Amino acid sequence: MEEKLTDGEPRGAATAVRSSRRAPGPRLPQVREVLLMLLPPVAMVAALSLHEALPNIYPDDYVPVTYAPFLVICLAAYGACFVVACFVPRFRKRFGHYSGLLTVAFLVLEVLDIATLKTGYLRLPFMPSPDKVFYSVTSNVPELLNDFYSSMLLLFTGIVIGAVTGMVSGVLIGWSRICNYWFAPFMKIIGPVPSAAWLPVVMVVFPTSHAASVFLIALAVWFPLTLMVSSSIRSTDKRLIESARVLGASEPYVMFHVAIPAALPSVFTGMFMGLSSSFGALIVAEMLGVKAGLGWYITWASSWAEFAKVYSTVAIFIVIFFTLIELLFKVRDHVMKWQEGTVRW
Amino acid sequence: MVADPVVHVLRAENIVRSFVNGAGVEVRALDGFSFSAEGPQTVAIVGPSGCGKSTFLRLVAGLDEPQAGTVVYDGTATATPSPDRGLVFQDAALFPWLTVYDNIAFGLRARGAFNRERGLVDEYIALMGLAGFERSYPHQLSGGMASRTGLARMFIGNPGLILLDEPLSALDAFTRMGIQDEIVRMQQRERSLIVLVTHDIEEAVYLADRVVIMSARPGHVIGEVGIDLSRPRDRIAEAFVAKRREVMAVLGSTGALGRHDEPILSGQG
Ligand SMILES: Nc1ncnc2c1ncn2[C@@H]1O[C@H](COP(=O)(O)OP(=O)(O)OP(=O)(O)O)[C@@H](O)[C@H]1O
Ligand SMILES: [Mg+2]
Repeated sequence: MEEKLTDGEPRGAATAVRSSRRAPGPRLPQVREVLLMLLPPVAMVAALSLHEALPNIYPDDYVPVTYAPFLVICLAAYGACFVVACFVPRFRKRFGHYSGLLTVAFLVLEVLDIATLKTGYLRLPFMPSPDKVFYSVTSNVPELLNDFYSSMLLLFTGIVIGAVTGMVSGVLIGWSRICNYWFAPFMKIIGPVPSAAWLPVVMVVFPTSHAASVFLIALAVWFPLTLMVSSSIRSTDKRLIESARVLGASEPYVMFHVAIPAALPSVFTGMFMGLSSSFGALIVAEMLGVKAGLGWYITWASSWAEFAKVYSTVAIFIVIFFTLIELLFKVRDHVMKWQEGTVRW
Repeated sequence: MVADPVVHVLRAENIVRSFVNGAGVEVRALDGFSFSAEGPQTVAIVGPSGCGKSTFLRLVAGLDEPQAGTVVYDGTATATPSPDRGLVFQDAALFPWLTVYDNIAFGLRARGAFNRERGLVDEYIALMGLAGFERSYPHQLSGGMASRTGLARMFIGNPGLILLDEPLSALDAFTRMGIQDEIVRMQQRERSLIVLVTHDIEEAVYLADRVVIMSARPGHVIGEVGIDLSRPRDRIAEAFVAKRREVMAVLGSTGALGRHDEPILSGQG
């Protein structure tokens, strides 16, 4: 394998030179690329065969259900992507980029499988086998979907309210001296208090625990957004504002068409910060307030020492948060096309 | 070309404008500064750095107010900005999130005139030699293109009074000469009154009908040279060089040249 890799390199380089001279068209994958892309399935097959070959030792008479099908599905999905990657160079580049990470991920799964189910080196209840973790999801889909729905409803209501109020108050505090005088101190006092500290207060103040939770999440988004937007609007390049005024723009027009666009980079920074802290607020709200949702499910499962459920739900959270952040990145890259090339992230 | 029936008049009398600098000391930028200009013509203002030229243009543009004295344009005090008084800063100050097209259309949109006059945008893009760059963002432009865009954004409003604050000083000599001709052409086309602040004596003599020379801070007018050369002007003609020498002589009499060497260097070329 090693040998083939080093052997493939010069040939690969030569193909690259040749193909760059050829007319544009779907370039076929180079040997080195293919070998790299073959690493993850090798790890998957290894994990699968070890899992099937070795006897299940710990705990006694445990019958694994989900792990093997999971690996097979992964293998099939990877195979499909691989075929596409062979013919679509753009996809191949992004897909191949993750080969190393994927390989390591499956190796880690393999090690965990052996350390738990196959040897009992890591003990229950804290260290369930990968199979048990996967099974805690597949055996529980309706309830998880239900909790997922209620978490997302809470999160999105809070984020939308927080983002809208944060934009409005940020623009007002940044633009108007009067608003700045009256509301900036309020923002600076209220904002940095962590959600957990608010909990006892909001539980009393709000009629329902749902409303209290929405408030906590909205607050977590509102503060960083207001702070970033207001300070960025206050520091808008003076000459841009003056140019706009000289061109005949009214004050509101300058605000909407100069100050706010100029503050857009900070809007996104604020949203990233707000999104991150909203996740924390969601967990706090669900663990202590609302009696539903994935966060609540984690608390409930850990009180029964069902750590497989805890881990799988934490993993689900990670996937959700990761997806939301990535989504925001995409939106930002799209909205801020004009910045391309002027900054490096 | 038919003469514009409207003769624009700018009159500034005994202006005082001082600032408090970082150290808490009062700095008199302008002290008893008087200036007047009228008609379709170009007036250049030259003077040592920090003598209050930009401060004066900001007062005329309505971005700032004098502590004493009056600035009157066409019969009204210039207390607030107006699209009839266009201003271009040194580095154009384009809106980085707008394309060249949208930058140029900004004024029309801000005044709600875009739907009626959208044809003007393409016209000015062509006039300023920006065709093909409509969809570019400012950071994708060369300095010269950015400068043309800034000028087009101002010219499109057809202001009666045009204030230029060293609009070309960041450009190389060739680009600068090209845009200078552009400005001459636009001035003859629009029949506007241009007040140009510059450090480049050649530029002043090339563009202006009058060159007004200011003292070091606190700034006031110490002299004036009329440039009655016909256009297009020949930069190396005897008469042209004589005018440059004349302007420099007045500047030199202030001792300004000792502290401010740019006019000599760029004027010598
Ligand atoms: N906003 C301000 N705050 C404090 N001081 C200022 C301010 N604006 C201008 N000044 C001071 O006023 C003086 C005149 O400034 P101005 O910008 O008008 O000079 P200038 O003639 O345009 O100079 P240059 O040729 O270098 O552009 C300078 O000493 C400057 O420090
Ligand atoms: Mg200046």
